Amino acid sequence: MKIRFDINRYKELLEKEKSLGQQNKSLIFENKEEFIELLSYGANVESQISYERKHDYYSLISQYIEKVITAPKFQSEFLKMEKEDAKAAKIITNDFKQLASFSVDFKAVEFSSLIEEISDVSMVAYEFGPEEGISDQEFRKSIEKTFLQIQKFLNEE
Amino acid sequence: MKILKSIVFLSILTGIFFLIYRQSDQKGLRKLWISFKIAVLVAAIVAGLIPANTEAVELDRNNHQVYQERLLSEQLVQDNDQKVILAKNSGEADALTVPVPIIKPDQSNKGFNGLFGTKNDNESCSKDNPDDDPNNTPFSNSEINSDFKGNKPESKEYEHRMYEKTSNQDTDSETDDESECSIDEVKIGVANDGTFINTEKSQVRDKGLHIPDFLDAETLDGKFDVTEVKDLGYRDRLNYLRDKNNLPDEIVIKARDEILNFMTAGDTKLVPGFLGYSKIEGTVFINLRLNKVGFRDNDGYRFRTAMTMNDSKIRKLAKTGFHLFPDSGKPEN
Repeated sequence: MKIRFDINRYKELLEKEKSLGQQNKSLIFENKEEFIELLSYGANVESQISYERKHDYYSLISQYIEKVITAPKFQSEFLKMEKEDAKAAKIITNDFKQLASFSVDFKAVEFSSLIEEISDVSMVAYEFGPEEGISDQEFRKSIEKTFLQIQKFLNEE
Repeated sequence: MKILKSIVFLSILTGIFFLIYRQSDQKGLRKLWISFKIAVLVAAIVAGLIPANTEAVELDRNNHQVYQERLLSEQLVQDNDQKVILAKNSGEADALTVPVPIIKPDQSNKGFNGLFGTKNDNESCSKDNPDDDPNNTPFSNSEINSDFKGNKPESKEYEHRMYEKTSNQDTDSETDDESECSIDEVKIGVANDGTFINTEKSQVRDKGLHIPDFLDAETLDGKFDVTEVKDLGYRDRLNYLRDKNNLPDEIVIKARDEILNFMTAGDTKLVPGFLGYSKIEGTVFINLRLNKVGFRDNDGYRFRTAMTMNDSKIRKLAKTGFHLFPDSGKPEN
């Protein structure tokens, strides 16, 4: 199953946000559902791009689980990969032609929700450290838990 | 004649007082006091008790200045342990014992619980040179002549101050001073809703990992190598970032300017939100064009963090009530 984008709707939402912006307003306040819908276009593209690199993600997480790399190294590498995906996604969402022909696998959305969990916890560790963010033990525990889910997900494919 | 003038004065005073009181946007006793002051002034002139002098009556300031003045006075009741050193273009500095934060936010203030708030920043006991910064404004410009401009895209109307914080934390100090001192240069940006963003240089420095989100590789080339920091543990990383040899002031200042450019941009949305598990109240700054997110707390309108964020993370932020890093500082299970 694939998700395809409704470009006209995307343009409509962009236009709405733009015109609200000119009145010092935003969909954030006027219609939060539409704001979330607008962001879903980019988010779905990011999901697909991450999904296409799923083995790279898996490999990186494995390295951390097997203690080949340290937690800070893992966090920075993971967040770097995610940034690369977002950058690639932005190029697509900025180009209506590319976006119109782009499709997103349902599996990609599922995979990206797992990746997002790791990303969230990595960002907290990266941003705040063990004292004010998350302890090293909690961080490892969290990654291990999600890693099992990713393994299961990949095995079921 | 004098009695007549007094009667006229009293009746005009009462009328004007109620008129001003109803129109005033002040609150409580201040509303009462300001209304009374203006009413007395106007009534006295109308009644001829003091010579009519338009120059004297005319308030030589705009509404924004009144707003700032009110906010400053509200701050007098809190946060009195900070000294403001206002840097002049000449390099001189005036020290005033006025509180640092400028605007009291709408949401109720909460205590500042960690999340870099307790940092012991020794980055500069020697005063940073404000002359290096082209955006530096003299004392007169920032405090008296404030040409406050709200709702202005990409506002460069920054005020530039140096704050001296006093703390008693330095027990290992090798200096003769009994109290630890650090001079923290603060730049104040004006967000597009007219509110301030107090951006401490030391906070930008501590968030040095996000500097590549705001400065391009060319600017950083040979000056700051973020890859050297990335593999360090949190504490080592902070120590690394706080060393000016690793992260020069010049880069921190440029990064701070870029952060303020994003936070004050016309298309940046300001949404009430929270930071961390303890739900520090503040404002989340979101710019979809730049894919940037920042946070300013309500406790002094201080800049706390800013970074690049992808659409999926911004979407999640919107879904979760604009709560940034909700699990940060969460007690262990």
